[in-house]
Amino acid sequence: MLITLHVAAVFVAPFAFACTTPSGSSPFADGLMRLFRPYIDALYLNHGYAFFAPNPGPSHLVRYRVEFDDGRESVEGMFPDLKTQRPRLLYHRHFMLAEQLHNLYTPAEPPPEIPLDDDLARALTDPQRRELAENIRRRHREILQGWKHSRDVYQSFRHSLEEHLKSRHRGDSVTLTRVEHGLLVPEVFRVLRRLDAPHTYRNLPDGAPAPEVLRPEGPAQP
Amino acid sequence: MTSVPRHRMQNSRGSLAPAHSSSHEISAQRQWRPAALLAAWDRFWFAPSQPHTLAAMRILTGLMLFYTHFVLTLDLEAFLGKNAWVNQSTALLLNTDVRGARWAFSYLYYLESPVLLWTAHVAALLVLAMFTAGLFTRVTSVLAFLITLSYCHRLTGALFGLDQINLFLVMYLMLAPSGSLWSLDRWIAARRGIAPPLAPSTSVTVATRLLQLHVCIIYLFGGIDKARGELWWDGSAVWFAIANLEYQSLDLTLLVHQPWLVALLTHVTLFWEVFYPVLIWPKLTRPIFLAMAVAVHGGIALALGMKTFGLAMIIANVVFVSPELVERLAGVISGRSKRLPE
Repeated sequence: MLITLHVAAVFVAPFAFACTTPSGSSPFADGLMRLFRPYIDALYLNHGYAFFAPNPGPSHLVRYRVEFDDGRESVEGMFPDLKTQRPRLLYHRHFMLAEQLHNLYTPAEPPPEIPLDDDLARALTDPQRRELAENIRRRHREILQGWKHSRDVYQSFRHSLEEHLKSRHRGDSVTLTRVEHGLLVPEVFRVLRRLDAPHTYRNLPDGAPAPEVLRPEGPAQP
Repeated sequence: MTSVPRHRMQNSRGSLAPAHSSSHEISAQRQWRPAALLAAWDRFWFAPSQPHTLAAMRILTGLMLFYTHFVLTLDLEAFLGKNAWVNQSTALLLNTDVRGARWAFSYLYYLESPVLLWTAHVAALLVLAMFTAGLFTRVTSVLAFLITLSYCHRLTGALFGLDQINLFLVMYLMLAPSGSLWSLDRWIAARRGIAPPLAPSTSVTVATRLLQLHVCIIYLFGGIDKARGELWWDGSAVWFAIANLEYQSLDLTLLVHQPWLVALLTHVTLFWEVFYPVLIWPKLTRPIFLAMAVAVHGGIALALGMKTFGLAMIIANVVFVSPELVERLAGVISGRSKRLPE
């Protein structure tokens, strides 16, 4: 019995992850996840195992600038940095910090309320319209709750990175910029013959859309 | 021979199958009886087995755990200290869900003083070294699991596949007597003349089966998630993996001139991963799938800058190597050959 429950828990985490799509998630998988969540989280089993999936994507880096109130020249850098972070495993930890900042990114503006389609509204009776409006409001409240949690986590993570850099360089203020390093299609690479062409690096403004749809349960770690 | 009820010998078209030609059929039908299923379930999970595979995995996993945690020593306070990249309050928040519930635990949440942190870290490395060497393995395997779990819950934000694999390996090794062989425990017991003879054990089988199923689940969802991406179908996924500068540790971009080879590698990887959970079990296909695991994960280790993750996945695949073969390989390595006791 214990063995069966454990194997079920191991299965449920990636199953719930796979059943979450931009358009929504499976109520069945969500229900299972809620049931097993304490065990899954306690044993660090909350993974999607989506290595290089669904597609190998671009990398994300973080550019930083530390400034000093006493007039010293500012310090600029980027992580991950293969030149200073060695061995490779230490570099990879820094790489994951940059990727995590990107994954956690949640826009400052709350998601707008879902509008009711005009044609649908006209087709409904007044009581039906009121009931549907209430359902939409309830769903929106859940989305807002998820957005607020995601935003808090993102801000806390970003602030933590800034505080670390301030402490490490004994600086007074830090500016972080998320950077995306795009991948070259074979046709372009054959011409350029380099993967680090300047145009492949793109600063991501804070107003860019969130990488994933907001989910009240929060995503499993890939 | 047990008699078979007439109605059970009817084939799908309702005609009676000749009794003399259906011994396989009868035997197959018996396999689906509740008692036979229960017996098969019992055999699968509880038939005792020898500890050689898990003992080898203990040494390999222990080395990987030691290295993974030792590397943190090079910048310990940047990852676990008061002003870490991810400070403690953020680590706690990352492990808290939208309803405010948190089930993750780590003793590292409570260590802010550098002295305490360094003491705990050195102690952790010592325990991991003892686990690798098989000293007080019953205790150090549990401690190694708790240490690895605590580091995972504290390092949230800086983790990747390696940490997931490390943790599940040590979690199941903790359940079995993985230190009963090739360990200081056994060496000390032998010197005292109290080493028990190696005997097959049920807990070895349980741990082995859990490990095997966990590996299958990883590949199943790894494959399913890849199958949702168009790049794994248009044959370009491997190109975009090797064209990622941040991962790259071996420049394979020359493959840009061999698109058919890139596509072949892409398709083979996808199909290998999707079918792994099924085709790793038959004796005929198991060696092929294990060889492909070594090739795929070896490639990731060499070319995509993740030696540790690639090796950890290869270590996880060792669980599908029989104790008999592991024992023979160990004999070859140590220059002697000895058969396992039945």
